[in-house]
Amino acid sequence: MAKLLDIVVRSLGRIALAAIVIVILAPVVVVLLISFSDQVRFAFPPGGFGWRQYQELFRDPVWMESIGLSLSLALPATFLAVAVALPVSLIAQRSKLPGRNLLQGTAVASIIIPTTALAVGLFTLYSRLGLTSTNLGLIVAQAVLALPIVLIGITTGLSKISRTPEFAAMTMGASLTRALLEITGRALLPAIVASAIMGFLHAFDEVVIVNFVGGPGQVTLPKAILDSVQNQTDPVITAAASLLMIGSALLMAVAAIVGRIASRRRRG
Amino acid sequence: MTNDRETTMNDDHVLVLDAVAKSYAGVLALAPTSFAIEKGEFLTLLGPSGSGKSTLLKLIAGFETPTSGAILLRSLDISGLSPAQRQLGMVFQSYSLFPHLTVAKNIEYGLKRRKWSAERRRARVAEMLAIVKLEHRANALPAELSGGQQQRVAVARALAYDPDVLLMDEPLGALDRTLRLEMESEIKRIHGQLGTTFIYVTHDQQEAMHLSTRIAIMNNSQVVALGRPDDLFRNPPNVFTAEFFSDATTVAAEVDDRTRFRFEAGGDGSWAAPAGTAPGRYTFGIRPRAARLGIVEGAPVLRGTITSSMLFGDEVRLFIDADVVSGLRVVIPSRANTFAPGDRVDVSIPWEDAILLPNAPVTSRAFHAGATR
Repeated sequence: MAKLLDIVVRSLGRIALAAIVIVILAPVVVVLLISFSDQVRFAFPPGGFGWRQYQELFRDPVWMESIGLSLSLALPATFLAVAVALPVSLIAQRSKLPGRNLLQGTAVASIIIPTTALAVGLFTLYSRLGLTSTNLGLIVAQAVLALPIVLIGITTGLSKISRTPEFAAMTMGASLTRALLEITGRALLPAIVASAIMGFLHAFDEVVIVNFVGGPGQVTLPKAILDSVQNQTDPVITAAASLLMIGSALLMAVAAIVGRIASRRRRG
Repeated sequence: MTNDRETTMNDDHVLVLDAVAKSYAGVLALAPTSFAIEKGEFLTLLGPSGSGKSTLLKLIAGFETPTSGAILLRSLDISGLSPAQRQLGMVFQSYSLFPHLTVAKNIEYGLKRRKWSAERRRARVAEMLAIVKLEHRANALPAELSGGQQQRVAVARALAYDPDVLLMDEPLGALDRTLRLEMESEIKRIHGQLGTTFIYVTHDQQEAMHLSTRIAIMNNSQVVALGRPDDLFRNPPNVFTAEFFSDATTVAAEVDDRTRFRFEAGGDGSWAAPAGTAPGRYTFGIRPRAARLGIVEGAPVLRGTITSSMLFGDEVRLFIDADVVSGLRVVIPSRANTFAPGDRVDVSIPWEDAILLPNAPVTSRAFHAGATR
């Protein structure tokens, strides 16, 4: 009896796993397939094979500009998030500063607050500061979104790094700053790169806040895709979405490789 | 701030601790400690965990600042200096090599900080690699080395810039037993070869005995004994040292007005105490190798039952519940072991190997070897 139950539970587990994989992967496969169709309308199964969607994508200046804008917002936002996350994680882990947990909590708050609520809040704030419809406003907003991911990644990385090499460097004549940068900073670099990539993807992908605080000229790639679906049904967006997915997957792979190199070093 | 303190200095003293003390939020971590270390010494701070030995090492290294007192390195008060300014080397328990730098670059690090020329650095790195016998691994990364090799790099790295004192914080703690013994010989050889002053922290009395020219035994945040390992072992100045360092079993005893010695817990006999022993209460210490089975003329005798035995190759350690003390340990040669658990035996402790400590009120002995206030 118990054995039968065991088999049932195990099979159910496998079915659930398969279902999850299908639910996650199916849309990806569909989008990829359509992006290689030669149709001018959405159709599934796709008709013939062709590069039409990609040719359209690269020919249309609107798409190219949106990609350019997305990069010019997400890259500085990532740098900003890293610049804030580094001192915050150092303070949270190494100092005895009162309120350091509050500091860290505030930094990761945007992961808990619903994005729409955050967007409304930012809109109100930006209206007063005159930051709506500005690139600066969007960069700061995206940095706020990327910060929790970057901070968690860097804090985890820092917690795995022993402090004794830093102490050793200090006994050998290095100042605290130098030991921190040259020894701990160097060891932390893979974690910084990996979490910056994750943060960048998060910032790049953001679409809700740009709808609230962005201006009419500020059409990022995700917003362009959303707009396109709302206004017409041009399968070009499947090419845009496919490139977005492939780009993200490649960056994630880089992050994973960087992480693996770091852990191999640490084993020594 | 302590410059006006009068300090008489011997030129041979590399490091002088002058009433150095440390407390954290009012809790004492190190009671005022004073002693001096001569050039070329191998001094071990030996004590159980929490005895203050690591605190003392951190104070010398500069990772902690003393609450009071001064630390003098070559007559210079370094109490307020950062670790980088102290001209010390340090080896940690976790190897703490820089993982992204090769063996040679690890050794070179301190030389670069001291702005040695590239030529001098190259020569010195080669020299240090030869001293720790790792010439063939110069370009390896730390992760490619064994634990013992990594610790040798750590030693070479800390000694490369010829520090005044090398501090070692339980450097063999992460190694397995065989490797530990091998590294002990290596460390002893390097100490002899370079003549640098070593300060070594460990909780392992064997390790301390093998390596040190002097040992400072620590307990309850203070140095309770300081001396040569053979002296401390045979003549421990207090009960803690007798039990912790000499591995002695202690028994309460007394000497009466007619210098007759007897165990307080009764026992049938009394023996003549060594000439000149003052009347009073004493703690009698029995080292495992000081005890003999059978009766020895004139020596105090305990009667007991063997509870168990443990073989150590050529030697056997017998555990004996005696009438006046239980858990007595006696080591005898294996070939002489004709005993079995349950046997009644006489255990004699000849006076020349016995430890006899007067039960005076505990006063911490002052260790003003050179530094006086």
